[in-house]
Amino acid sequence: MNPAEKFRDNCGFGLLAQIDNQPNHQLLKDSIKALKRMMHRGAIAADGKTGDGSGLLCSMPVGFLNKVADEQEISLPEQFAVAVIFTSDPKKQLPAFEKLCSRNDLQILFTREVPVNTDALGEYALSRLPQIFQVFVVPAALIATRRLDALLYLTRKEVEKQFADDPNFYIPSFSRTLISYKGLVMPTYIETLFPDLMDPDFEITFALFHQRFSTNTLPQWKLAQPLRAIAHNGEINSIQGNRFKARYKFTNARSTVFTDDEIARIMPLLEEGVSDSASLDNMIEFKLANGVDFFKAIRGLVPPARHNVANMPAKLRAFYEYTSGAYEPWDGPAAISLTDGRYIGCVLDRNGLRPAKYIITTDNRLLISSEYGVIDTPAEMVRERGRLQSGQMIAADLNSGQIFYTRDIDRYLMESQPYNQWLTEHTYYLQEFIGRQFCEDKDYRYPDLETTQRYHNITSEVMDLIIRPMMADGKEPVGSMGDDTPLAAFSDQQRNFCDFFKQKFAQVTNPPIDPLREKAVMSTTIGFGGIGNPLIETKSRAMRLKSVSPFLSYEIYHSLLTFGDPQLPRFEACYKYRIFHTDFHSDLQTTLHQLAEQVLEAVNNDGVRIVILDDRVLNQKSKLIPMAMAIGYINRQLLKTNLRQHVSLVAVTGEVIDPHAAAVLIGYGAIAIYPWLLYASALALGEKRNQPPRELRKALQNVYQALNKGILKIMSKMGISTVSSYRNAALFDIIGLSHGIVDVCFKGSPLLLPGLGFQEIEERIDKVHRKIFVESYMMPVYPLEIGGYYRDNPGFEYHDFNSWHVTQLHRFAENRNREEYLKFRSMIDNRGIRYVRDALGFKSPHSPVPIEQVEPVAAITCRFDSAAMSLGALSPEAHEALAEAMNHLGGRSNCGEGGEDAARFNTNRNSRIKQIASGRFGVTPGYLRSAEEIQIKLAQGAKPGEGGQLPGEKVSPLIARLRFTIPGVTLISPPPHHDIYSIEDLAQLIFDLKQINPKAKISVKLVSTEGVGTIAAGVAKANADKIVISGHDGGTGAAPLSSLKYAGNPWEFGLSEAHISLKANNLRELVSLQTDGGMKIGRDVVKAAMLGAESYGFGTPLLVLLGCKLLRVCHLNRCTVGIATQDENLRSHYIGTVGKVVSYLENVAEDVREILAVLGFRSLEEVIGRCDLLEKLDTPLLNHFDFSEILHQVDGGNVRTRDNPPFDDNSFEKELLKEIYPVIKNPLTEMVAERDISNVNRSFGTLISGEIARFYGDTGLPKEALTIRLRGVAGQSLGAFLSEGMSIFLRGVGNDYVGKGMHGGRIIIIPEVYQAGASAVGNTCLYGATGGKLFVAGTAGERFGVRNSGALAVVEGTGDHACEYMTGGTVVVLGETGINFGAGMTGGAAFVYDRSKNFIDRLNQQLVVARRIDVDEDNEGRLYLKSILISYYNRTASPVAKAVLDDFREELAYFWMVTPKDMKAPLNPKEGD
Amino acid sequence: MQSFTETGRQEPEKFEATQRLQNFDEIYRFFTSRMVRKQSERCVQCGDPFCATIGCPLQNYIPQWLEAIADRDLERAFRLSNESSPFPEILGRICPQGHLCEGACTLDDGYGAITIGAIEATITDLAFDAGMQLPFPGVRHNTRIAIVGSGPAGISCAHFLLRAGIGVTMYEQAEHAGGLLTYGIPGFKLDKKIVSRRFDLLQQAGLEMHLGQQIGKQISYPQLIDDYDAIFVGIGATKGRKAGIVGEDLPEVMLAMDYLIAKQQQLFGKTADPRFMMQGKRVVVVGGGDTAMDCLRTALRDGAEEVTCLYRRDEANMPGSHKEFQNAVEEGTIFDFNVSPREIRRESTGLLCIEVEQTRLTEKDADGRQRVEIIPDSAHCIAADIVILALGFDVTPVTELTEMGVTCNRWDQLEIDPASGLTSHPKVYAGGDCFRGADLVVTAAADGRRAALAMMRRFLG
Repeated sequence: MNPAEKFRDNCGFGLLAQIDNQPNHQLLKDSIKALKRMMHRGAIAADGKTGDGSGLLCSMPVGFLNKVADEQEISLPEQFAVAVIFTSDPKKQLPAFEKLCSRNDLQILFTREVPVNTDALGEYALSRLPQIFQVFVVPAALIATRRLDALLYLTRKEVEKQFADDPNFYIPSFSRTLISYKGLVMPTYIETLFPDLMDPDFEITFALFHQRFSTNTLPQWKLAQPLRAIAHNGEINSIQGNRFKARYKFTNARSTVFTDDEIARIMPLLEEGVSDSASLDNMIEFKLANGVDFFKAIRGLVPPARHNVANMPAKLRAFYEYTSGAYEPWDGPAAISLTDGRYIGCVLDRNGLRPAKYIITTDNRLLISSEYGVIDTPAEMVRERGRLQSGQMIAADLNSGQIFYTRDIDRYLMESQPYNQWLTEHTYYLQEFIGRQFCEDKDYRYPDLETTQRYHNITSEVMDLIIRPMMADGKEPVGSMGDDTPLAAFSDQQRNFCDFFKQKFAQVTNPPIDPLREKAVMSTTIGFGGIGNPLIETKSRAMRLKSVSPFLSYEIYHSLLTFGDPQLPRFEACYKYRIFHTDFHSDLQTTLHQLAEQVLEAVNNDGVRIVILDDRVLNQKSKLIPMAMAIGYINRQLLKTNLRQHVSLVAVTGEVIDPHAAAVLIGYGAIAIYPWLLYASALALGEKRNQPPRELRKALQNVYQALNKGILKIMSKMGISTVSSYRNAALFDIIGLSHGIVDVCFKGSPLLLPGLGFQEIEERIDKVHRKIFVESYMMPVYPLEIGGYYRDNPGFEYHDFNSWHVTQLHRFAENRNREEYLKFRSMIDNRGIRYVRDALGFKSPHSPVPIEQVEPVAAITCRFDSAAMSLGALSPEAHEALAEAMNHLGGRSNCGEGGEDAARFNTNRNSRIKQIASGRFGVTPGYLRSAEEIQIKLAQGAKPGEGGQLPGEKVSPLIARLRFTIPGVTLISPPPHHDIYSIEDLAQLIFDLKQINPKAKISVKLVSTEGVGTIAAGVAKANADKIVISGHDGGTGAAPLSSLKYAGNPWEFGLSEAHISLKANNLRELVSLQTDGGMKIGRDVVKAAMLGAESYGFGTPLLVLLGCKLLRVCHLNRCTVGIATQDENLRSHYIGTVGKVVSYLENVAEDVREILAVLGFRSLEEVIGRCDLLEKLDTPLLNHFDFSEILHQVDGGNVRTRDNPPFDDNSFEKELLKEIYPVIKNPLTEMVAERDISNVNRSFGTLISGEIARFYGDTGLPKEALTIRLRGVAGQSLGAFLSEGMSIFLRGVGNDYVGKGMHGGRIIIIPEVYQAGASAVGNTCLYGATGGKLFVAGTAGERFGVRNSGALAVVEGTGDHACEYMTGGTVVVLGETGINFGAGMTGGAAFVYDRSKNFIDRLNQQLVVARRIDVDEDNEGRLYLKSILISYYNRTASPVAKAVLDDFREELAYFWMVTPKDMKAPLNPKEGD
Repeated sequence: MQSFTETGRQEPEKFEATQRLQNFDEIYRFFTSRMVRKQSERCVQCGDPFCATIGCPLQNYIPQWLEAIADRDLERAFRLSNESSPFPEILGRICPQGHLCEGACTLDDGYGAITIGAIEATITDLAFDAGMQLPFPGVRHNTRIAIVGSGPAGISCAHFLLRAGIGVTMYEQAEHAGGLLTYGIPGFKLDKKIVSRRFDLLQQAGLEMHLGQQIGKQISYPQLIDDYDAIFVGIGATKGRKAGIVGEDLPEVMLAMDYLIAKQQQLFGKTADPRFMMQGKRVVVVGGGDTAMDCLRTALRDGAEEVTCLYRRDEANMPGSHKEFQNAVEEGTIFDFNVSPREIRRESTGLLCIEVEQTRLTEKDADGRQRVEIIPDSAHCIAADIVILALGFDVTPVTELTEMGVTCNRWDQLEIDPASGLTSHPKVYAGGDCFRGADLVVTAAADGRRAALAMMRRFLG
């Protein structure tokens, strides 16, 4: 596949509807205007004109079409439909269309070629332009309207099927009520492209509109949105699983609309080769066409969170629980607008990760869009302004002219059927049938336990480092530093089969979730039983057996079996089970096939519905089929034979010791897992330690908890919130298995480095089996192997930072001569094939050149960066040494996120790269301004998709000062950047950063994974200057061990993919590429260069030079060499020097020179991207492996040659900057400026703040120096990174990210027309703010004040997750908040005015406590609140504030004060120091 | 764990020197269970356990058993410790840990290394005291192996073979088993009961022991080859080196090993040759290694009036364990550094005169080594009643073996395959000092283990 044809997309979207159903042309014009005003949310291809796609899905413009028909001298009947057809072969395809129509009782009235003006198109779009036809169709006989609609759908599906092989054939719409106009065009030109749209007779009552931002530059016409029923902004993370399930869900479905034969003609319901959005559209459309209710259709696929949300009406919960039996969530960030022609609505995903804002106007229009202010509605015409919150929906019924809000829709849904009763009668939780879990332990006792443990690679290390911590803490253990072991494919040690699988994680186009702080949106509940007929709601569909977790204890497992055993009273045929053993003697592949045959036979003939695969059959003769292989293979065979819908697959396995192995099984189809060997191991361990029965039970319970938490964590990395969506989603990269295995067992997962087949895997299994049963000659004294997968224990897995290597580097550090370095180099050179790059050798068409002719060392070291390591992770000594060393070498040190002492700026200890990560710690205007490069860390090699935590004890006074917090406060970094949930959000952040520091290059750090090339292309289109591809092996101060080991890929894969993909998309010349991960010697650097990297990052080796011994105790604050610690005593043992680092990197560069000389090149640049200079080594070890994908070549430039500026040059603020420059020159003067602003003026105030910071750092200007009065609707990021001395008064409303990262100054927002409770600013305001004031006379969106560490804010209401991760500052909310308030909040204070007395249910009480302040004891809080309110009222004249102040004594009783449980700071920060 | 920031390194307590000199008992009081835990808790539990990888020839699971004992799990610690090592309680006592595990310990840089040796010895002592057993399957295979020599290499080989259920017959020329462990290492370093306890264990596990049997005399090597599936030769390096100076053949001049053996035999109850009596004598020991220290300290216990050590280099360059040097100093040894004997002669007084010259060390050469050079005109006389030469050991050549085709190098050390310990004869394995020359007990143990594992692979398939 051409890498440029892989893509992900996000976008701007919306809808506009005339609720009273009066068609008009203005509505169309306004829809187009709205689209144009969200240009910054889309992207444009390299030709400057081809958009990624935009379009409109309109109500039928009957008047216009009548006119068109009249011109053809045809008069349209009352009832007609129009098919819009993209085709490149009309002569053949249009008649075929007609033929199928007539077969379905449809008659073609006439066909019209849609006029297009190609001036609107870019070169690329033009080259791909299809012919566009509108075919007018009427019923050939008298039929009911519903039947007509059904026939239209049926016909379209049949036509599509017929031309499925033609990528250019596409039917954008075929409907009685809707018509589509879309194409590869920028919104600006859509009217030009389709002159129809300019016709004043083109009158419509509603339009869905959409502008696409695709990561690739070869978009397709048919991928433009809106689709047939929806326009979708977001990404469906669980798409593979949803598609898999869609393939079997309706196998036995009966429909009220279609006959069985017709359903068969419609199938398959999903189109091939389309986007995730298109699959969702297919699904929704199918449901609607089959008569599923509009609201039920969408809510079944995009339900709100329910499992862990308090106070949801029981009946509503019942509706969702009932529906979940047939439909799993299509999970991921999403704002979806949709229509069936009558209803039009918009729904938001359960976590509210995309913006959707609405206004209802006095002239009866409903506008929903990503941003406010897109059509300049005059303030007095806004009847209502609001936004959708997580999981909410809004809709309009155009027939009745009614608006439905979430509560209306909820009421309708829950009252529509007696769901509660159905569930009560038929749905049972397995937990109901047992006493307590883990009381019965007879199933955890095995006489040959230790042999089995050895076979399953449960070593002493696994017991100590994995199982014991799980037993003790109920969660996964944490480790530090990177993974330096070989891939399973290259290992010569016993490895688990699941090691071939690497977890996928979200970066850029979708956000990961925080499974700890945002657990409310997640669920691990599973349900056994068939899905019945998903198209019709019947009582029998409620027949389910549920469990709150996919992990079974013996009791639950046993309880499940009692329902499936005909001999027992609970028996129900739909739970009939049979156990299949997964052993084999020889010939793995054949045995696997036979096993599947047995299963199919049992399901088909014996009505078995619960298939249990049990591996408790290991012995002298029997080996085990890897459980993942068995599950994956049987899963696919069941699908192939149309039996999948009947069956639940349960794995009873010894392979699941950690959550990763469990995730693999679930990812390929297992519904539940009974990890007997894990329990047995834990039990044996506990008993050896003489734990009393109570403790033992607790320990087993903890193991079970740890698995649950672990699976949540793995799902959350990919942004998936429910296990039912994760199942079958195949979210792994597979490294080193063969196509043969992946095709039949693990289809849907990308395969990197095709390699080992069934036979090779069998040989590996044989080897282990032999080792255990034949070659274990000695009676063990200690029953288990020691193991060396996590630590470098002698005799076990290879570690690249082993003691010998470390010792040699230390010896070199002492002497710093080439000879000692060469000893180190030869150790690395002679390590054998351990990593991907080791398998590649150099070749060159040139003869060697004398080394003197090769560029000097300094020309090479300036391409070196040190990896991001924050001050906090590192001691100040080590942090500064790295900065100084890199500056000395002309390279760049990366300060990591966590701030840097301003005293270091402008000295040789300044880090040239300043990092900005999800915590935004210490990210201030001065910090950003001191950078030559600003790096946005999207993911970290050691733990992509996860956040982090700096424990309070490590927060020393220095760290606290730099991070704007109080010593001893725990600092939590969220998994996602809360201002980057999608690619257009990233573009916005890059735009922000280019304003605050126009001189700095913006780099984006990604982690290697399949698909990173696609992401990289998107990042380039978002105007980044540099992309870093990190390997999975990067170090960390602390990360869960399973993340260290199983998430992310070696950089070789990601780098080559990114390089190739950028080239294929003509984007390579706009960005430079960097890579890091495990590089140690010049050889690594040259290979990285040949695979496309222009610069190179070094992390762990530099620490080793500074004295690090890879103790892997960074997370314990026990670093004996004073590097990864803030402890004074330990730091006194620090022995690092700048010279050691300098000398090492110079030696590495010298290697590079030597290699270049031998290969006949004079500079490193000449070999960048020259993967033709690499070849697979000729050794039998590599025989099975195919490296062609890494070494794939594409034409085009190999290095960055051009700038990559945003299309928006921000002239709006540049011009203002000129005007106010006198104040910057003379800070003693004061000035007031006035402007009108609209949503296209983004990041307002940031450019000026940057200019202030350039001269005055974080100090800024005097308080009253600059006042800017704005009027209108501000674009995103108003006042981002605001400096002290700037006051922004906005008369109007703001969009998302107001006051993001603000450090000083004031932002005051007052709507022109005040409406109590109306929304005035968007999502994620004040994210990462370090100071300043924000007063808003209106409500804010989701995630208000996330990671605030110093700002004071007052708003009149917030969405969900307000004050999450807050570490400082004060937030006052004079109104309702959403759920999950104060999650992960470790500092600062919040006051909430809880007039309706429901706040406590919405408070996440894990870390914070809410107190009343109307008692004398809390005088301090009371006074502080009052002073804030007075100040707020003076600025905003807010009626709410006035009411409170007028009756302060009374109203005080309604306030809660929320503070962290272990509050360390004074309440009012001004009273501190 | 990681309590090194709070707890310092503490070595096991020693008896007062004056008390020590009263007998040949061990001088250390090993740890109590509380103390062993406190000391073990200091361990960092490194990701790179240098102690095991670089520091330990046996690659013992040091961090693991430290963790286990810190976790109060004596049994786990005992099992872990005995999994890889044939006699941890012995090695914990006599290994020069400062050069090995403790020297490699990451905490040795500025915090004080973990007291690995003492903890190791303590674990197995406590475990045996608590009645814990080592599991042996009993002899369950037809394969039979003969082991020649009951020193560390032989014990180790026998231990691992017996764990695999392979029958072992051991031949020892002395009357007591243990080789160097019994005769070469004085009781104040290693209580003989500890050695015999190991043999008791092995015999229970099926070891057949033949004492007082010298191969080549009662039974020949070819005979062994015929009778057994393979043999393991672990006969050590026992030939004491002489100085090659005039007077070294005088009756008052003796070799270290002769002296130590005689003393040990005496402790076993034999009457010793009077020439080994040190009572009231001035004893001079030439050499600076651990054997020299053993002689010095034995002589002190034997009632010598004055005990002096002569060494060619300085204190910093002594090859032995620093710990042993300290012990010798505490017990009253006089050290005379930078002297090199040239001649020994009997003075008219009846005393011996050791004529020595002063030496000095040259500057470091390219390899960082310093040579000894004689300072001209610095000769002088040191008076002594007895001179003991502790100048190292060589391998005693065994012609029977060479005749069978076992090749040796020019120092008569047996040559072996580094992967298996097999000599050039297909049925003869070897290890320990007879292959390495005089080396450590722990390396001999590693050799024995290597050969045992190779034999299992070969004979058990």
